[in-house]
Amino acid sequence: MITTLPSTRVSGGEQLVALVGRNLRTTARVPQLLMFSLTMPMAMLVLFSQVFRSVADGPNFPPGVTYIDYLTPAMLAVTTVMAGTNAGVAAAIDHTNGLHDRFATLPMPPGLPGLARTINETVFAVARAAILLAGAVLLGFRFHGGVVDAAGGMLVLVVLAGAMSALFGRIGDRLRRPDVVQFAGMMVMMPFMFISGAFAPLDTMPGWMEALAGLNPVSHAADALRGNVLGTNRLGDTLAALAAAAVLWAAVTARPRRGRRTAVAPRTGLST
Amino acid sequence: MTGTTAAVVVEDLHVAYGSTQALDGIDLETTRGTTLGVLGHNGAGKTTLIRVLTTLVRPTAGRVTVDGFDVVAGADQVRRRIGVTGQYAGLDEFLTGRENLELIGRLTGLGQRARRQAGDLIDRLDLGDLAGRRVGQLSGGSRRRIDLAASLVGTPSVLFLDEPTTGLDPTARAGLWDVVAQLTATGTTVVLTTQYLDEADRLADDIVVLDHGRVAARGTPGELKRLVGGKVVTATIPAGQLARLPDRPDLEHPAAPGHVTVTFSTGDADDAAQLVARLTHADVNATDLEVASPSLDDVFAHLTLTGAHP
Repeated sequence: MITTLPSTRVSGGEQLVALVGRNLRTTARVPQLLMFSLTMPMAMLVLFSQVFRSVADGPNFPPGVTYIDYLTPAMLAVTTVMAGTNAGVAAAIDHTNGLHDRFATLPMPPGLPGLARTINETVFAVARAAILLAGAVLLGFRFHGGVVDAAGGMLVLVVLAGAMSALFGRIGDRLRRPDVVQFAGMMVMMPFMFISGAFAPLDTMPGWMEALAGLNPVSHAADALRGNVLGTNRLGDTLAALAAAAVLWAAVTARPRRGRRTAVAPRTGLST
Repeated sequence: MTGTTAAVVVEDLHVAYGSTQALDGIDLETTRGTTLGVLGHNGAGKTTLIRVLTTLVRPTAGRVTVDGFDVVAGADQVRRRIGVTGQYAGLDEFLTGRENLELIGRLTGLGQRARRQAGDLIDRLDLGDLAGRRVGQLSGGSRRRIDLAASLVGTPSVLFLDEPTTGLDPTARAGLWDVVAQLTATGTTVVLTTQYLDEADRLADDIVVLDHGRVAARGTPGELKRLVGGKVVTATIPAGQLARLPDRPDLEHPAAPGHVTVTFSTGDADDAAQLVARLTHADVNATDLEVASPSLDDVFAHLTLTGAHP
C-alpha cells in the first residue's frame, strides 16, 4: 500500500495570490460586464451633472465652486459601491457553481476567497475611478489640490472600495443567488448613495437624514474626496472617512460564530 | 499515519436541519484502501453524510474521524487529506479545465508542481480534448469528468464521490469506474454515494444502505444479496399466456411488444429447478428463461419497500 502524503504546507499568501489571479482572470473574461461596469459611473456623471446642476444655485451651495467639481469626487465615492455589488454577485456565483464548497474542503483560511474578491474589485474600482476622472475632465472638471491630496484621496477610495466589496461579498455569501444579490445590491446601494452629502449639501436635508449620513462611510468619503479635489481638505475629514470605512470593513469580516455551519442545509432539494 | 486501519469512522452521527433529522444515528467504519458504497433513495441522507465527512456540515451529535482526524476539531488536517467531487461540479466556468486544476493545485500547496500534476491528471483521465476549453462551454458530463480530476489534485488519501456518474454516458461511466479501481489499487480509500446498484456492485467492497437517515443494511454486495436469499427465476412469455402459468409471478413487466417478463422468487436452487420444470411443461412459450442470484436491485427493493416506511 502506498502511503499518500498530505499536501505540503501552503502559506495563506500563496493561496491568496492564486485566488486573486483567478478573480482577475475571470473578470477579464467577461468583457461585456467589464465594459458596462467600467463606463456606468461615467454615464451617471454625465446625467447627474446635467439633471442636478440647479443645486449649485441654491443658497447653501459653497460659493465659487462649479457643480462638476462638486459632483465628481462624490461620484468617485459612489462608484466604490458598484465594486461592492460586483463582489456580491461574484460570491453568489461561487455558491451556485459549487466552487464555494470546493474551497471549503481545501486547507485554506475560510475568509481567503472573500479577501481575494475584495482585492480584485478594488483593482477595478481604481480603474473605474480613472475612467471617471478622464470623463469628468471633458465635462470641465479641474483638480485644485496637491500631490498629498491625490495620495490621500486614493487611499480613501481604496479603503472604501475594500469595505464595500467585503460588505456585499458577505451579502452574496448569505443570499447565494446572483439575481437576488443584484436586487439586494440596489436596495443597499440607494441609501449609501443618497443619504449623504454626495449630490447636495447635507444642511439642505431633514435632520434625521443628516444624522444617518453621519454613519454613512460613502458620505464621509465624499466629503474627504471633495476637500482633496477643491484643495480645501482637512485632515480630520480624511481620517473620519478612513475610520468609517474601516469600521464597516471590520464589522462585516468579523468571523462568524463557531458552529454556524451546523444549521445550513445543502442547497439542493433533490438529495440530502 | 495514525496506526489505525480505519480511514473513516462514524459513531452515532446525528445531523438536524431545524426540526428535520437528516441523519439519525449513523455508525460506520471503512478500512483503508477499500471502497464504501452508500446507497439510498433521494432524501435518504447520502449527501448530508458526505458533507459531514468533508467538513462542510458540523454534526449535531456524534463523533466522526477521517484518516484519524476529527472532522470538527481537526478540520484542517482532514482537508489536507481528502478529495471531494460533489453533486455539482465545483469549478470556475470562466477558466479552462486545465486552469481549474492548476488553481486547485496552487491552493493545496503544490506550488510549481501544480502545472505538472494538472498535465498528469489530464493524461490519466483522458481529458486532452476537454482541458483546453472553458468549463462553461462543456457538457454536464464533461464537467463532471474535469471535476473528478479536480478532486484528485494533491493526491488525497480519502476520496469522496457524491453520485459521481449521474449524467455521464456509459463510456464516461466505465472510465470513471476504471479510475476508481486504479485509485483503490494504490491505497486510496473511496467513499461514494450512488443510486445505481450496478455501480455499487461493481465498485464497492462494502455497502451501507441508508433509508430516512438511518442505516437500513450493511455488508458486502454478496452478503446483502444473501439477505434476500434464494434464487430468482425470470422468463419472457406472450402476454396472452399469463393465465396459463403454473405459479403466480412476484413481478410482471412488459417486454417486447405483446410479451411480458415475469419474475419468481424461489427458495434454494432445487426449488428453482422445479419451477423451471413446471414452466417448461406448462403450455407457455417461455423465452429467455433464466435462473440467477438476486441482484442488488432486488436487495434494494426488498429493504426499502418492505421496511416500516411508507
